[in-house]
Amino acid sequence: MANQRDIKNRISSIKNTRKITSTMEMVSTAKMKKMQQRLEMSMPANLKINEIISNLMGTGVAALEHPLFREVADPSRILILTITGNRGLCGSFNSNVIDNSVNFRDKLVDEGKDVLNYVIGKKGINYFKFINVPVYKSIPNPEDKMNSDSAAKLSDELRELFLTGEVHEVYISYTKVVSSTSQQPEIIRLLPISPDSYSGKDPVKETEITEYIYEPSVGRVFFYLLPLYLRIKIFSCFLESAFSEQFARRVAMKNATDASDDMIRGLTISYNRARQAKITNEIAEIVGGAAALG
Amino acid sequence: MIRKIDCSILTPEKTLYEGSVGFAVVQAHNGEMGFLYNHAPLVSELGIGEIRLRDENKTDYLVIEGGIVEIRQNKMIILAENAYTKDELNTAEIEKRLKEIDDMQFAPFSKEKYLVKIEEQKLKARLKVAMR
Repeated sequence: MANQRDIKNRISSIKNTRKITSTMEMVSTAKMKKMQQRLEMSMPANLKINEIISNLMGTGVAALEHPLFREVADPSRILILTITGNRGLCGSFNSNVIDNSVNFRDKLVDEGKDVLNYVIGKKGINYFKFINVPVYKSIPNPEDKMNSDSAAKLSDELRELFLTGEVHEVYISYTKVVSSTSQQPEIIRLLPISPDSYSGKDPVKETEITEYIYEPSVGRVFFYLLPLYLRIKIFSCFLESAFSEQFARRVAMKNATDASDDMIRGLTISYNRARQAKITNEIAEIVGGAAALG
Repeated sequence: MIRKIDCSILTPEKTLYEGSVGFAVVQAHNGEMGFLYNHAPLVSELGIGEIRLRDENKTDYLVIEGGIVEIRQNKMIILAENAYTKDELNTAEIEKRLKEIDDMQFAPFSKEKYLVKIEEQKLKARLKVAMR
């Protein structure tokens, strides 16, 4: 049986850990709230651009001829953009995204395709290094510093790669926010843009398509919108991932804090038992000694 | 009857402006475009320039750097790539950056020169709004 001092040391070390985890829980709760706000603020633009684009699609413009829609018959060079976090201690957040990407990559490689990995976030970079898979390009996750400008830069880079024929398809692997309590890793195709990725979301809308005047012309407006659409898409993927990361970290830290509470309770009981046993033992010795003398 | 347009200006990051205005002027792709009550449904590409939102005796100024405007049933929505309200702009900072750009040297027809030219345009538009 562990002695009193050992148990006491363990209790105090767990108490210290608990302090850290409960602080981290509070920090990520605050960060999560902030990300949620940003996510909500970015929603109107996201919805609006989808609406305008589906309206445009309704006009029957020959938009599908735009190079961003161009499907390659046999896509052989594929880029996967994996968005992970910079830090761990957030449960299975990073490993879920990475697993998803790696499985997807393996599948494509089996089909004999060339896969370029574009990795964002230190956790992802380290993992790819660990499994010895070459990375096309990697940058740390910009986290709080992510703004629409950096999303624009990234989307322009990807668009350029696609338009020059360097890659035939671009996928994003990120963590989608299904609701504020449920997130799941997902892979979506960014390029070429699939016409059904935004149209037909709301079939009721079909009947109320308004006849707009387009300035300078339908085609110009449409072509102008597409890059903007990509930027907004990438930006929202980043925001969703960042929100999910904080959410996952909060949950992980809450679990850790709860677990340490349980451990402290259990250890305190064994500490008291050990103490009581020692006292009982001493009394027995004294009584035994007194009896021997008497 | 109130003859006003509901106006909202969205950027990818947030909703920058929301309110009803009597008269709105935006920088379209090739000049300014004004909107009054009962405008026909329209979608237009926007350029780099200022937005004036006039309501009774007050005018709000914003700067917009590309985007799109949609008006329908007296609801105007501006979807901007980037936009700032007048209060967000700092005249001294813009002038400093403009000066820096002025001193830069580029090879003719280079990509850098083109990019800087665009930045200069944006800065000039910002300055114009900031000085209002």
